[in-house]
Amino acid sequence: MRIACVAVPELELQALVRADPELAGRPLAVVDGRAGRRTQEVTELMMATVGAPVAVARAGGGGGGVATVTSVGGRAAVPVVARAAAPGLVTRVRAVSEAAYAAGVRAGLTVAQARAIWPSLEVRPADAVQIAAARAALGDVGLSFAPKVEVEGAEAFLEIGDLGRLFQSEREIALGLAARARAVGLSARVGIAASKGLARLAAWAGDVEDGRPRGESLRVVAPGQEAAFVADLPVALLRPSPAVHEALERWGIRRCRDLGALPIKEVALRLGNEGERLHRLARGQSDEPLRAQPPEATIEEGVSLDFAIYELESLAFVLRGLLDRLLERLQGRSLACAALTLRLQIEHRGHDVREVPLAAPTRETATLLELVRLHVARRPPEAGIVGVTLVAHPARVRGSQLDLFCPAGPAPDRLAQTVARLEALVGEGAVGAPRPVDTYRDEAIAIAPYRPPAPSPLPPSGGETARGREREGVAATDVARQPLARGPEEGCLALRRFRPALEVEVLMDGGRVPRALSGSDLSAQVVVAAGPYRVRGEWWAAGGFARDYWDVHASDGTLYRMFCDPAGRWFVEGYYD
Amino acid sequence: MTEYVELRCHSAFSFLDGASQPEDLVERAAELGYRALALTDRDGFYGAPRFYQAAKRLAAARAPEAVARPSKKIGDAAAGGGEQESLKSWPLKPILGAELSLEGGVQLLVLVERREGYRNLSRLLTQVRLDAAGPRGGKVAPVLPRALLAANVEGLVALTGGLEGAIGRALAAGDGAGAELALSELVELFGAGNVYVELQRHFDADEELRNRELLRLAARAGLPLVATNDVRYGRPEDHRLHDVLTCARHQMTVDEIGRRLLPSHERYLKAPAEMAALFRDVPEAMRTTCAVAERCAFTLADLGYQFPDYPTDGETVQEHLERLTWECARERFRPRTSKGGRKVFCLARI
Repeated sequence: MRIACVAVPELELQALVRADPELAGRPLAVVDGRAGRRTQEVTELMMATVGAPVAVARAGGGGGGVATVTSVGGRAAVPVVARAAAPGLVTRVRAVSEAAYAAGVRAGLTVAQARAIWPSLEVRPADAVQIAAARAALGDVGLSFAPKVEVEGAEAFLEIGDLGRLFQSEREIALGLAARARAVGLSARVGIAASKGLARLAAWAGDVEDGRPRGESLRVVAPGQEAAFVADLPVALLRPSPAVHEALERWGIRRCRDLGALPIKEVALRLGNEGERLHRLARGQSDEPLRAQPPEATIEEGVSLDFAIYELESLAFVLRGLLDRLLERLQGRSLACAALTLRLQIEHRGHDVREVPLAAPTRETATLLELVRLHVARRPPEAGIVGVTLVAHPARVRGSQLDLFCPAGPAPDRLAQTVARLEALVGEGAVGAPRPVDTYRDEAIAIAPYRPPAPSPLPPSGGETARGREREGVAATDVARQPLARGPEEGCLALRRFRPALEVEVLMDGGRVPRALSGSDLSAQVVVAAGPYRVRGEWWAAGGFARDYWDVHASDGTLYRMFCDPAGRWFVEGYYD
Repeated sequence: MTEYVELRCHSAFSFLDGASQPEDLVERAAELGYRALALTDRDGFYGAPRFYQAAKRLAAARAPEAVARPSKKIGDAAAGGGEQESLKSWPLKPILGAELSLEGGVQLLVLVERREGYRNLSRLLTQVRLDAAGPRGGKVAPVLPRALLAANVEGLVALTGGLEGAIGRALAAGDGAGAELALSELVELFGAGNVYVELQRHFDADEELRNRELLRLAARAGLPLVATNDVRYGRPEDHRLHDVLTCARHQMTVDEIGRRLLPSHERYLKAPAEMAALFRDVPEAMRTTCAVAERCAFTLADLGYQFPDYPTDGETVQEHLERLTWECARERFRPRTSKGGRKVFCLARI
């Protein structure tokens, strides 16, 4: 069995950079989520007070609730005391970028200490949504290569035994995995070995500076070379527990070679099961199983915003980034977005969840962005948006059969976009194909989603071929346009309906038959009248309807259809032609 | 005063297609001044006893002595041996009939004219119901074979029907020749004197077009016209109940039912004057309703056992019985004894 490990160093940090690519290359520190946000609030408070462009929040007394804020950045330092809303203002750095690390900022420092080292340090709170999305993206990297993938922390393991037919060497596989990870916004280290534990070691080994992995790396441990590969690695890479690590340090064991040279029974006696496991690993032996997880039914990308968004354009900017990442993940798995759920976290008001219907599965960012944008524009949120999550429901892309004799119809996704634009103009539910409703109210129609007409049926069979018709001088397209049968409606009167019906005044004779009608647009004597034709119904709905219809031949030569409602009001519903 | 008799009326015994109980129909008809009413439930007589009892109670309320003293006269053999009931003998004469489901979903309305007709119609309905018993105790829609109908038409009067009749169906499909053929088949089956061309008016444009064709067909065939209102409920306000029953029949909600409901709410028992206004251009159709009601003499009062005629040589039955009794008594109890005297006394009591 050959296992590949795709490991993402500093996943929390990479998740931030993935969501905001502008942070790449800049000195950045990730702090605890809640504390980080509180630090930000205090910084804002100070900025409002002092007006300094850059500020440092320094906790006073380790959680006493009072912070001393000092402005810096070219202006005289003005001590300001800000009262925090809650205790625990001491926030510590959890991860730092390469630039910040190079400047001396280390994980474990407080924000104040870190900023003291690098005043322009970007401090961002860890975002659970972004981290979860980055982890899921890491799983997608594996799924784009193999069906059996296990994601564990910041590592994804996949079985690559069957990929030999697609790739010439395992190094190519490793290169492909790294490139795929890069495509979804992650910088990954790839290791390939005979087992899960060894693949992990291969991924994390090498390019380490002060115990910190540097950038991407690829390492393939050839079969039979496992013991030799592991021998020179530090035992810290085996990830011993602190107690075991301390014991090993005390024994002077720093390399796997030293650990592997110890008698396993003695190690097991002193360090227990963990010691035995580490010993086996240090000898290049690992039987840790791969626990494949089923792929998730939906693909989710989200972001928590530091400041509330009120403008649609700002939201569109955020949405574009989310969609790019979402579609990149879909593309990696050869899937398309069949439906989209937009979840907006509204300031102080919970979530606003919206389903964005799609006419057909698509992977076009512009189309999806336009649809989501129109959807939000149609019904803007009631308050500022402080979090956005997009959930894609994936589906396989299916090709559609085109017709030889008919032009191709509009692309389904483009059509959906057009319909959405029209809906934004005329209102929701007002765009579509009219559909008759099963009711006695003749004017009633329903709007069904528009579907482009199906391709015309193929020409009749029976030996008649398109080529034969062409010989007879009939173009194939002409044949396809010919009606197959005469419609039953031929020879019938058509009613041209006024929407809404025109209200008129009607003069009745003694026999309660209309004799004249007059309205704003028409006035005529009734020559012949037929009726009343009575229609009643829907009494269970509000009001229902009750009408007495008349067909009248007016003196202007027109045959009108009129009705009288229970209130005695007359309306001209239309005219026949 | 305008005379009109409703000859097509469903009660609640037309399952889910009638919204009024027979008693309510009788009461409403009496309020409107009807002198007769036909109960024509679909494929059954189930409502007939209650219909008859309601009419009888009405008669008792109007003229108690008429009910206490039966108007039957043994030996009145008019109209096929049954009792001849004129409209005058009932305040509201209960006429019997039924709507028969024929092959192809076509409905045919028949009214019982005389006792033989009642027997034939009972036989038809019984057979239809037996045939409708499906496997495993289930039921299928009853369908009356035309051959069976042809063998049992004596004593029955047929009305051509509305949209659900064979002629109405053909006319709705624009098949005038088919309608004419269906009418001729009906005449051949029942006889020219027993078929009436039925006109209905519910303020429906299509129905009016069919009526024009029916008028033409009736004139060509020389058949009488008769007006009906195809009643499904007694009072106008009962249309809601009928709509709900229609929904139940189709197993749908009111929002789903759509045009399966009747388009207007006109299927109630209308006052004779209202019907006369509707049919003012064909008054003979109104008059014919009374003629048909007069003709349909049979009521459930005639269901009792009828003794056979006995030759009495010009004597009345009573005289004949007394004479025979005395002759036999003299022969057996000669000389005359007190026991014989008691027999004579008993005879007098009889």
